[in-house]
Amino acid sequence: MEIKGVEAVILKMQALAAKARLDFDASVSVGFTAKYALYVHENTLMKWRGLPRDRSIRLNSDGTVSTGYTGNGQPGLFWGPTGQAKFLEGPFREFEQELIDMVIQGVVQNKLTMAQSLVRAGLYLQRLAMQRVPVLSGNLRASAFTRLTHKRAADVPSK
Amino acid sequence: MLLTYHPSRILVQLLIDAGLCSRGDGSTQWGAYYEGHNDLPDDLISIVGTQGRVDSEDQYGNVNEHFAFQLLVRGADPEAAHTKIQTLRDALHRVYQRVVTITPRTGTGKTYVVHNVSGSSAVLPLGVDRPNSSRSLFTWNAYVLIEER
Repeated sequence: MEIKGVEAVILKMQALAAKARLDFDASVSVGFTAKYALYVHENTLMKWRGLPRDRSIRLNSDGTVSTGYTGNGQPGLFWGPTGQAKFLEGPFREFEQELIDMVIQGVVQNKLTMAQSLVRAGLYLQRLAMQRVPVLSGNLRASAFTRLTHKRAADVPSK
Repeated sequence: MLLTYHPSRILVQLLIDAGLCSRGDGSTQWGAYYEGHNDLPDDLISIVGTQGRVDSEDQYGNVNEHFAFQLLVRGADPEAAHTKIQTLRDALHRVYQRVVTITPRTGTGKTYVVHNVSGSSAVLPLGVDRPNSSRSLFTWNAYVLIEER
């Protein structure tokens, strides 16, 4: 008995295996590129949090604080509007299980590749982190990124 | 698991018991503070609680919580501060079922068993604490499992 085309099948299987290996070796990084991002992230003291940046603004007699752009380039509150230290680590720990479920659900139910599913979870984490970044000029918040990398791309055979 | 005292206070007491620092009083070099510190002295150690992790139930139905903390070292000499945080990190890594007693000025004290400490990051150099300052900051983040007796 002769089986024809075995070579072609083997090559096809090898290519599929290589593609699957490449896909499952994907990893995603979420972070901030601003040079002072680490300093702000680790600044758990959060000094003056909630106080107005413009010292001329005082607590009103009715208990409210006047905030907003004051014309001197110092708008809002320190660590405002909803900023906090550990703005990336915090939501990662808080939503860790949800992020894992999101990756699994993406691959199993939504038929996404592992890379696509990881990017989707990474973007979700990035959005959560951006909500907790303190905003003065917006540079830190705007420096958020989600990056897909294939750890072993160089090891995967070309065919 | 209920802890009467804050985990960061327990960890500060552990470091004091180990002879690695003194109690922070606003003037002593390498004094240790918990949940906040002042602008002076330059050289200090501070421990602040961060978001921890709740484990699933064990076979006895107990739910353990790993408390998380940030160890911060500030120093006028960057090399001394870096050496200090590495010494503290290594000492905390070696902790295994260490008994710590918190004795308040008034009221009854409590005894704790610090089972272990596991780091969740490398030592992070943050640079100087302000643009015109020469005080260097270093942090290290970790989890700790503490049991109240």
